[in-house]
Amino acid sequence: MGFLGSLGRHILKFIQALGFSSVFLFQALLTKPRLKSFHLLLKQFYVVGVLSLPIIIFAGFFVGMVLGLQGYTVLVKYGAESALGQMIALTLVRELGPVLGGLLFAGRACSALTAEIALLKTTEQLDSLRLLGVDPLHRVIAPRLWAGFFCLPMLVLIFNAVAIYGGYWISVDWLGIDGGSFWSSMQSSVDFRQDIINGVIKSIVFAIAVTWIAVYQGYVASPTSEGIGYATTRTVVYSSLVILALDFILTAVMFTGLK
Amino acid sequence: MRYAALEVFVGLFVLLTLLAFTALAFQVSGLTTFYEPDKGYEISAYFEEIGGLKPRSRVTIGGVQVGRVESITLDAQSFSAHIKMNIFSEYKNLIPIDSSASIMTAGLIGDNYIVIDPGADFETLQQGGGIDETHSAIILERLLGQLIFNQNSEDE
Repeated sequence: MGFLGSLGRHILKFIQALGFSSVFLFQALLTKPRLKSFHLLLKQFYVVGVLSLPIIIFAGFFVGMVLGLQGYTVLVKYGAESALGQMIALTLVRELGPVLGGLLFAGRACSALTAEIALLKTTEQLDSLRLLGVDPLHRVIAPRLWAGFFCLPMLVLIFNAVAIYGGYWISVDWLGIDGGSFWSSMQSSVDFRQDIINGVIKSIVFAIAVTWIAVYQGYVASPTSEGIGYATTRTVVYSSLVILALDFILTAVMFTGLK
Repeated sequence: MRYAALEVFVGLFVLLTLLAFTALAFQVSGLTTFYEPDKGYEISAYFEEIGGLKPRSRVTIGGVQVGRVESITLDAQSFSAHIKMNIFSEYKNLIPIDSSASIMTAGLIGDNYIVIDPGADFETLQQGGGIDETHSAIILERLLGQLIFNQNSEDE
């Protein structure tokens, strides 16, 4: 009975959290945007997007180079090393770009979002805003949500481009593959709508999921120093798991029918 | 000043994203439908069997890419594949009218592409021209089937 009872309690708690966070998301998104609060959004674009650029560019470059090296050792056995460009581009654009970009974004930007909001709550700044008649959903939460929604797809595009040029550098300048066949094998197999646009759609879905989790975890964190730590950990763990699970579903829907 | 600096950084971020998107669209996926300075000219050929040829596959002469496959349709009367190829404009007035075309495979498991073997005629293919002599793609399974069939008939 004790086990069943606690199981039921956990399930109920999860469903309650899902319901509350949905209402929370819609309330934050449906607040009327005002021109006066534009600078808040700009600030979040800087914090969430621009400050994540170095890690995204660095990681992208190295991921592209590793793909080039690993792909070469396998493909050269079949004499198909001219298909290296195609392999690098398809892997990145369809899978690795959105997934790795999302995981890095969860670690770099989402954890900071959670910690910041949880600290605002712990130091009772959210309550003071309410006392002043300012809705924290509008002033604190909404700009962070919108910035997250836009920044991750943008970062993923940059990640993909940097990684492909990293792969190009390794394959052509180091391993000695012909540059023309590198690009032409890529261009004849990567389709703009099926691959690039589907990759962007994936990253938009991930962006909504992880930003939502981060902001919600910060908002409901228990207002202690311990609570901030727990909330930040939960954000990184949940967003990573959600990205991987959503990726499976999206891949099954988008890419299983393709050659 | 503080906000001006923020705006500059966010602007750079957006610019970088646009650059990345353009690189992905044009350099990686070879999207050339909106922007095509080199229109080239179109020639066509009928093949009995095209294997794994796809739109945008390479068209080569002597290993050098001279164009790409534009469209693949099935000819309803002869049940053969009607291939339209776009040849780059720098190769205008170059391909003799009695050239032949064949479909090859890059390596053992690579992509299919078209090879044009130039003929000897002085007249060259122009916009809308067609290559008459074509060689189909070699399908490995069919080749193996023939081999086994020949083996069996020799045994008898």
